[in-house]
Amino acid sequence: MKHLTLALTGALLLGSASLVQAADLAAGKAVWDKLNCASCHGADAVKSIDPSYPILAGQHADFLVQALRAYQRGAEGAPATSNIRKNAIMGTFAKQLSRQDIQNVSAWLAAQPGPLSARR
Amino acid sequence: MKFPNNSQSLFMDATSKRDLKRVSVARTIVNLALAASCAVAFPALAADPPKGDIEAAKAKVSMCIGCHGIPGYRASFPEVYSVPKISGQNDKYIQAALRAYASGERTHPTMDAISKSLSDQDIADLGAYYSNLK
Repeated sequence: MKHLTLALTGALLLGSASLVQAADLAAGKAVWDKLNCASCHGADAVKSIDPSYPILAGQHADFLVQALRAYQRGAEGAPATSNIRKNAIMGTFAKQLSRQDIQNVSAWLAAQPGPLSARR
Repeated sequence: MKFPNNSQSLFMDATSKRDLKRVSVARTIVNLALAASCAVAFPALAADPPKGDIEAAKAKVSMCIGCHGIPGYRASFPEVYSVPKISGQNDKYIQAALRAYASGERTHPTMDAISKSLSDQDIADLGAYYSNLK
């Protein structure tokens, strides 16, 4: 019974790991190139052209996913209670992305080397 | 200079009424000039943002570290996702993000409340502090 539980837990963990890896890094880089994100965020996603734009390299993938979705919701006129971001530039880009595009580009960005951390 | 009050003006002849009108026009001009000088002075102030103080920020980060200082910490409301890594982020971006939450351009229950409690000086200090944590 104990072994069965362990085996099941292992299978579950493997399953969730493969879900996370469902994002395609190469396809993510293609999204980054297609929308020319580098023109503002910098080719390395670290050195943005303006310091008021964020460093994206090495950021948590799931945070980037929720940020892009929040831009989509903001652009669609969702109410303020639904965790939105209103931004003319990012709203226009986010609207062009599918759910899979968002997963992919976020995973690719999270895999890039950058200075971000949770240091305090 | 002494201005006649209303009860006196009841007994005024035509000449003094004209004088009173002149005085009131003069006052209006002075008021307009004062208003104009304020309108010029305040934008000048706004264009000069406070300078961030890393040392001062150390007494202000207690509201941040409970989430952003814990590696892998996940927000659980309204969606589940890792809170962003903000140490090493661009100073100006951190400030812009906090202002976006305060203005309602971005919404999130926790960040809305925290950003609205911050002064311009607090925002400048936090931007300086977090951008320098590398």
